[in-house]
Amino acid sequence: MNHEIVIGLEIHSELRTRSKVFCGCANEYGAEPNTRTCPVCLGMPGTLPVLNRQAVDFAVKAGLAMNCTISGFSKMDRKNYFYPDMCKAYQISQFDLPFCRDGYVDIEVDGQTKRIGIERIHLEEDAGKLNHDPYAQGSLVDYNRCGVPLIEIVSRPDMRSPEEARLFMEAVKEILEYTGVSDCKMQEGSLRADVNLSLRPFGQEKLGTRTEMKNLNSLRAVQRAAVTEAERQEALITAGKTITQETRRWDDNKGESFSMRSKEEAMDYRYFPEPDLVPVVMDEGWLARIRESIPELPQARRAKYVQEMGIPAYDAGLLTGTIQIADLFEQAAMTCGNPKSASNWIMGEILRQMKEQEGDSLDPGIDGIRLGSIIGLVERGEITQASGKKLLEAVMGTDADPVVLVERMNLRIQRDEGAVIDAVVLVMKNNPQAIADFQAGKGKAVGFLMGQAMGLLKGKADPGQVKSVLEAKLKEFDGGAS
Amino acid sequence: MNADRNTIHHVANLAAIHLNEDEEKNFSRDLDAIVGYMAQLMAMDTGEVQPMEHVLSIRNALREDTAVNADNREALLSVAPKTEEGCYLVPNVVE
Amino acid sequence: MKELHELPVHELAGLLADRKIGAREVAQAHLDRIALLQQDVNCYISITPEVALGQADAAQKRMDGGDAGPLTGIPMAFKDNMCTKGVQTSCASRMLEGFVPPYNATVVSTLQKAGTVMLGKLNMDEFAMGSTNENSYFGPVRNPWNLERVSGGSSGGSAAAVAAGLAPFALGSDTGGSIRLPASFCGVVGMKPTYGAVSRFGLVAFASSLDQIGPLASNVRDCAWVLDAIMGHDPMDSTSAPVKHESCTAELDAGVKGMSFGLAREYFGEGLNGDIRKAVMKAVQVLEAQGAVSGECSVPAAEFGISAYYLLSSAEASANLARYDGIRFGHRSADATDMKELYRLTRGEGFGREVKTRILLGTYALSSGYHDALYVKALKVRRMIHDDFIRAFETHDILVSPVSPTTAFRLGEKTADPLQMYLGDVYTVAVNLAGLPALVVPCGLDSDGMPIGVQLIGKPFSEKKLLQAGQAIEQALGRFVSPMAAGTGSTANPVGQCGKTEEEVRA
Repeated sequence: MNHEIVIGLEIHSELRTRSKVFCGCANEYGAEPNTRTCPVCLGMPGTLPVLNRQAVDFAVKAGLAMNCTISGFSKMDRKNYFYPDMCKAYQISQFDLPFCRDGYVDIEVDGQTKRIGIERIHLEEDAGKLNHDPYAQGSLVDYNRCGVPLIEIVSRPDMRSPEEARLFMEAVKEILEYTGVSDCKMQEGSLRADVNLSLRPFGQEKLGTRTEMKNLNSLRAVQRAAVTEAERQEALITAGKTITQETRRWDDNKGESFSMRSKEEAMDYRYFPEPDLVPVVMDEGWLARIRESIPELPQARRAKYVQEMGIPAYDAGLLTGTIQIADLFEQAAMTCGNPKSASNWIMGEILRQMKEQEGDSLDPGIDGIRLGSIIGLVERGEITQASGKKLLEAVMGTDADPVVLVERMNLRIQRDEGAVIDAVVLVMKNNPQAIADFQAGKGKAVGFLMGQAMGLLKGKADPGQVKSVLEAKLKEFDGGAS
Repeated sequence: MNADRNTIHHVANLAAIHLNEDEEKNFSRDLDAIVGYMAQLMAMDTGEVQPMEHVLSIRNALREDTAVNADNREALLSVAPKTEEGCYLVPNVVE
Repeated sequence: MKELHELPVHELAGLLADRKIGAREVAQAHLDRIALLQQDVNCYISITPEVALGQADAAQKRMDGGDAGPLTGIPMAFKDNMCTKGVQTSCASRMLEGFVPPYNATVVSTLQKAGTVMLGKLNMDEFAMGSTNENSYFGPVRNPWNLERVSGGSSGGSAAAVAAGLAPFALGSDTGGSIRLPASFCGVVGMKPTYGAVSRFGLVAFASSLDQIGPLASNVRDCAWVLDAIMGHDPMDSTSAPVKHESCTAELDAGVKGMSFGLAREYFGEGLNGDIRKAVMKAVQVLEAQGAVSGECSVPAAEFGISAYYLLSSAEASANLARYDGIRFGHRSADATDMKELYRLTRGEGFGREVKTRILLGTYALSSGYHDALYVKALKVRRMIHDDFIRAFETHDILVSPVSPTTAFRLGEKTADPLQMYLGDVYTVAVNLAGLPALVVPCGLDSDGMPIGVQLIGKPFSEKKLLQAGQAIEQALGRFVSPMAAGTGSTANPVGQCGKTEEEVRA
């Protein structure tokens, strides 16, 4: 690359409301076509929109989590264009008074923190879906998604590489997930981005001519499309050609983009204030309520885990993968008093089990207090590690109390020395071959005898105690024989 | 300010209305007169006056986020001119 | 004995309550009259005898069961831009011919619950765009006072139906005068309520920030009755005012003593027909005679009302009417082969000339390069007009003005020149821009025997006071009954015959 890459993103995220933004239709993905529609979201004559309070709360929550200034006075506007996925032939959006503006999100690039500016976040409605069926006589339109609330997050052109673009997208995704604003299921299109990219000679202030790539619906696609577009522009410049300001469509299968329309054909959206809706005025009380509902964000948690809890950075990354895991970790660590053990248990047991499970449930199947108390039992030597896992398995997906269950399952470690000695003696008596092996210097035999003894004690003995008794008895035996 | 044939052609395009030659001519004549009359607004000094979008000072007309699952697809589709497989049928959309 | 169609709502209600007549009988009498006169007046687009008789029977049952309200069993009709579940709602447009909504407008449900009996859907200017009701896909409405004259628009069907005795009352909608102009032209009472007083849900939108539904009836009291039924907050309409409305009927006869009436200079300028000026001044005298005071005032920005109104209403209309694309409802061109053509041909075929004019004007006003110069400028003028009115209301309770510079003119007389047509709305549009309530009450006849109305403009939510003043005028001047309504209903009435006041009819 002989030029500096300049990237800005426009990220669209569907909000996790129960109903659509202007009507009571369910906001659900994957229903039969047009079964989540009503006269309002179909834009039938005479129908009127009424704004969903939760959608406003979510938009503002996203803005606060991304350090934006929230407008005390906002309004909705109409954006006019004809396309069959838009029922009213205008989209209700926000033009000059969006809910949020002037924020930022920090990303980590090569160990350094980089701040990416957010120009604005506004609320709008999603469009329906067109299914282009080459065999049908036309396209089939499904309006289930029409009217699903959407926020558009517009970044400043602060990214300097395709990787930064991906990292920014990741950071935004994480924040939206943590705040519960969106489920960010990119494969379902609930999070998607447009990439604005231009090149300029290093050191030049003025931005080059940019192109806009539409509807990238995976993190990988964002990075790939940016790489491909940067290369395309670089090649054009090298060949002495000029870049056309245009909108391009990314084809992820082909790994290339195609021109949709140039600036000359740009749409004239004829924005004007939506007369069917009234302004939204936010007072301090309302804002405070939203602010209070924002959980600690992943970036801050990672720093805390590393600096205050002694968790390695990589592990901290895994533990903050979802808010459910991060909350589980923090609660478990607090309950058992040992963050490292809590981290090990979560990464070794919980995440493994969640991975093995079908589907994409974010539920770890247990809460932090109960997980912490299991870890505590093991940590304090009240049950063995193996019993701990057995206990966890029994508790997962239920609301059983591990402290009660540990008794019912009779898992508590036996500390009766007599019983341990009896068991060791019996095992030694029944396994002369192992004794012979031991005497022949085969260290493995000790392990075998340990296992037998533990088995006889039903796994409830303290392995340390069993080991020392066994070693003592073997020594005795050895001595006696010589 | 005027509304010549080219302007009418452009505006009709934005509004997605087909006009034949005669219509274009007639609308151009009518709208030219109308827009000409409205040019009186240009001469008007509106100073610092703020635009008025709404006459009422209603704020925050919001609904609670409850979903009413009234699947009424068949009734809604029944008023559409062309449907297929539970969907609205349109000519092929080429992007 | 008067015939049933000659009786006002409040008298019909009394007879129904006293069991002197039955709801079915009242409905049938009106249906019979419609069958006889519809072809002359053309005020109905759909006539719904089955619905009417079914609702009449249901109303009768309610009355027999002691569960009746004031409007139970009263026949009426809706302008055809209010959605009626199961009954065509065409907006007098080819675009919506055959469109049967699967939902009701809020006013339709409200009146259904009140027990009214729907006779049918009324003719109008296409999508409520027009001042004469000549822009209907289903043909013009004719004025019951003279069938060669226009009814006024866009609620021409509503006004003509009431004037001809083809509905005791009707609902119309008013965006720039569409209730008041036809009320004045047809000699009936019409009220455009305060913006936000009546729900717009289910009213097919023309210009959302200006549209308002209101009643048309033969007299002031009936209007008050209907307003009491339809005014109120609707959570389905975000612009519906969350206020508790005062009863319009309770103190209707309280009189005007001590009320101050303002005569805005701008509304009595050049171009106002002399008969109209005289009739309006007569109404003012009547008010003064009953203890009111009057004085001159000024609404200087009103002179720019026509420009601001046509820009704003057309801009909003250009978006409101964009949904008619041939996909989900309404007309669809049979000739389109691609998406762009489907839009262009469907809309080219489905909309009439005036609707296209407005959409083009509105699109122009919002388009890049003109947005600030036209649309935003008009919004500023709107505020100036609003502020002028508020200032005038500091010294006056009610402003009095003519409704139109002329009385009903001949069909076809002004259709060639849309701008000339628009200028006829000079006295009505500012009220919508400012969101104010305004009542039109008949106050005289011109030398051709055509009715003249007086417009009373009030502060926001002062419907009650306007009706009190209207009642005072009506009590003094009497009602004005069209020859068609006064007669036996035969079409033998000579066209153009002078109307008579109620006193003359009674005599």
